[in-house]
Amino acid sequence: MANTYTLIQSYTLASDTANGVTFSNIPNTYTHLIINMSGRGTRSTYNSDDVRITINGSTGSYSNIRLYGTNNTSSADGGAGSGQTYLGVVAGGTATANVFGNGEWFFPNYLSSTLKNAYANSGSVESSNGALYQMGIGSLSAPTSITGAITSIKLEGYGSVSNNGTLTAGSTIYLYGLKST
Amino acid sequence: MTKLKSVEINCTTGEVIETPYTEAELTDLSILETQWETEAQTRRDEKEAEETRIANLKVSAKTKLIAGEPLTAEEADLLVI
Repeated sequence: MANTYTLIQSYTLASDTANGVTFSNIPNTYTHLIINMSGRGTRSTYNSDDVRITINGSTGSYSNIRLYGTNNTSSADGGAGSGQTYLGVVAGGTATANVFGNGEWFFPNYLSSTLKNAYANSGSVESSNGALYQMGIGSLSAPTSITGAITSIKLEGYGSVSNNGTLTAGSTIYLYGLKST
Repeated sequence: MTKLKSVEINCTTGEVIETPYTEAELTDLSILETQWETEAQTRRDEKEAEETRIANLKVSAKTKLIAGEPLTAEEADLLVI
């Protein structure tokens, strides 16, 4: 079990940002990585929005498994392919104003030469009484073409490029390194 | 409010690179927005259709079980884990 928890970098968006936030040149001095985010997307008609993860800039085939709870209904999806890079949720464009979702993304053994994985626990509460919300948990496997350490991680909303994938101003992301000894 | 194209934080140097949109990219955004929204709606529709299909199968399976009628393979799959 990790016995240290070191903040590597953090960033708060001062402006809406379409193509996500990338942590690059991640140092190789830790055992695991953790990202915490308080975030909100802008995708219209969605109360919660997916978070897209890109590791080392790879557009190869990712695999994901996602479990959701929306109010009292559960659902699941997943698969493999270049589009299966979504893991976790934050608040969406039609969530209550100024509400941000929150979540944690864990990247174990990120220096390993074997398959890279990520795990997420996240959720978005849209109203003060909790009447509408969505939580999302799941796991993601990076493309097998990534054989070295994870050196960069990008987080963005669903779709990216356009307003639909934008993370809004005020979203805050923290990258932590954990050491096992 | 200014909208950024991307943000990169260099974890080694601490440098933050905030890249704004060019005018040409801003012009293209409205087209891309429509494309992404269409894709998002398609994905949502597919998910809802699958949920409706499973719900209907459950109702059908329950009705047949009560009536003592044979289930289809698809209905039986719902009951066998």
